[in-house]
Amino acid sequence: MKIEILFPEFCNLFGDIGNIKYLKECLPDEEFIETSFQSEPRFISEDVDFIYMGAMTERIQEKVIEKFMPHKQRINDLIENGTVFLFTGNAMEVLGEYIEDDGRKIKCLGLFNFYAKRNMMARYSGLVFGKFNDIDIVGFKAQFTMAYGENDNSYFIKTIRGIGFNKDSNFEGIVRNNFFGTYLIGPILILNPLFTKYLLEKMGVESPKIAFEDEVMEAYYKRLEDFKNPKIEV
Amino acid sequence: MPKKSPRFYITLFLIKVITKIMRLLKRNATNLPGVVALKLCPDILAQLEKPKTIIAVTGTNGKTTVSNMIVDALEYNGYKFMNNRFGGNIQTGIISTLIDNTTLSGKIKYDMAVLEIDERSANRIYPYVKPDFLVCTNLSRDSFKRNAHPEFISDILNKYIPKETKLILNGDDLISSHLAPENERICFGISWEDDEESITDNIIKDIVMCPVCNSVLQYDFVRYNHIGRANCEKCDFGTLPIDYDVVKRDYENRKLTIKTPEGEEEYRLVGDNITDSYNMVAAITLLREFGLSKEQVNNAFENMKIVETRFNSEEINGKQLIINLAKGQNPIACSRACDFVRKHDGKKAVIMILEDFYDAKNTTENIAWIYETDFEFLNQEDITQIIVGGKRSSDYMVRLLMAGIPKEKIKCCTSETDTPNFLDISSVDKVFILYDLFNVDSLKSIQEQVKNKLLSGGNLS
Repeated sequence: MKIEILFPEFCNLFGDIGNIKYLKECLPDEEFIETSFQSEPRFISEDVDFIYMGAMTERIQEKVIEKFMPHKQRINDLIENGTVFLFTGNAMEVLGEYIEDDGRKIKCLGLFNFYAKRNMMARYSGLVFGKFNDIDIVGFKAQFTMAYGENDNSYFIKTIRGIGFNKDSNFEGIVRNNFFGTYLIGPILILNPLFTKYLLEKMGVESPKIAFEDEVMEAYYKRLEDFKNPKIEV
Repeated sequence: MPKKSPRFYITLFLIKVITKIMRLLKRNATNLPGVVALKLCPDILAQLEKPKTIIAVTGTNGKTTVSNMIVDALEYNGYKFMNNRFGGNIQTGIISTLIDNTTLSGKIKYDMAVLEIDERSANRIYPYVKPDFLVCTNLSRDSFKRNAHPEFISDILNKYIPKETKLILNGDDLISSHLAPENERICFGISWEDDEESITDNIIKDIVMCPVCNSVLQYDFVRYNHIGRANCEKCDFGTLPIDYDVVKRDYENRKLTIKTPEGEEEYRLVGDNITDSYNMVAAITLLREFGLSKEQVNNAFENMKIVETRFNSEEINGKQLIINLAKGQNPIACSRACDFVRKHDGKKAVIMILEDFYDAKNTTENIAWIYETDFEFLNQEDITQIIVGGKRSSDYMVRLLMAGIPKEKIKCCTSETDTPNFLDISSVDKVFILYDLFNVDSLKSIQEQVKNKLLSGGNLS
């Protein structure tokens, strides 16, 4: 199995790098390709089984859009063909229509029907508790943007507490085939072991085992308890 | 400066009364008076008189220590000035400090101020408080919630640092040394020493590519994280000339040698950590540029000590107890603390209380930052026990296991003050307590319990 991590030297903000560390623990025998920004992504020239990109700064985000633009069709084909993707934080915005920033419109790849509005002086931070299928998902948001567009039928998480695409939405993130995009930041695969198992299955792992299962599950149940507690601020 | 309004005078009077009452009640009047003042008179910071000379200190790590060093040295040399050593460093803290040092008639009491200023608050402070000198210790990742990332913070500083401010910058930090490029600047740094160990295994590095031409930066040396000296392979971006360069650190004889524009100067070395040396050279550069002589600065440093709540080391019954501020939610500061522990010799136990006090009270902490922190540094044979206390200790268990630390070495408990119960002092020479800034109350209790345990030879539980 080939797992491609895109631009880990940049797309590693907010503890997202924990996801990669954890995947390596879960899949110690698989091939991890860490593609630097100076190189061409491996997925352009060959099939890979899983593509991950984490949160990045706003300047880097524009450079990533520029880099991806000539490969828009290839990315679309991979999504349509069922390649497994996980894009976290603002990585997902790269594939949307555009990003609005102080009157400026940054054109994105346009593979998904949403856009983002950026306000660098209004940072949103919060907790999210919701469901992906039957799986309880917990996570954190810290972002300068809010997303707008149609994801009622293509959301990743139906939120129970915390916000979705924007402050008026209960639908968080985007799912299409095996593409998972979410504004959640940080080590979401460690925080959500049941989703990690689901993702590993999608990647083709039979009866997946996750690393440090007992300890990770204990931390997960403790966090779930907190996130369900109405006294806890989200 | 706008004319003082009647509203300003009423606010000033009310805030002085509030501050007095708070102090009578033995409450810290550091931020709240500023919060109320801002509500009553939204442009109060513009209307308040400012001292003629302002020295400001900002940066992600070390600003409190550097600020304290500058205050101590100036006081030692007989300067009279106001400062916010015991006050807040955000907009409301600065307002509280200014009001405290303003007469009822609206006159500022001092001609000079030394102010520690939160880097994220630049947009709210610098339009009104214009420093003559601004020291920036460094810029790196900090709280995700407030500070997002260093690029965001440097953009704010670039926009709001007044053009006339002389900058004192860390030349070994390629992010902060290039702040406000039009401003006059003096850089400090620490030269590479031959026997020094380069730390290249940090998880995070906040600048890897040239911000001008996007080429890879070639590092002459990396001290830790992105701290080091580098140049772009394609354009002229890189480390600036270092005006105050530490060329020798002699821990045995407690001497710091700095190459300055006036030749080599020797100062008494305070502290044992590389970050202590960075803090020292930052303060010395400011003081020398401000006009103090080498002798004036050195005499002040002769008796200086790092504030005890940030670092303390004592020997009890032949074993050492070391407390060290690690700063929760700040991956670089916390990684520095882990590096400090690993470099000590002997068998070691580490107690960690790093959870955010306020998050634990009101919400549940975003622990993502622990995946940017180099807990891998604690994975060595001579560290035999790691005890973590706090509501989120099960998250730390996972993180420490992922750092490769054997499970049998890790103990976790939900109450911070229970951590000493798990400490086995018989097998260790040193006990470290790494703590977050706002966990001082728990720290005191833990420190006391560990002391008792050491005094009794471990018989107390």
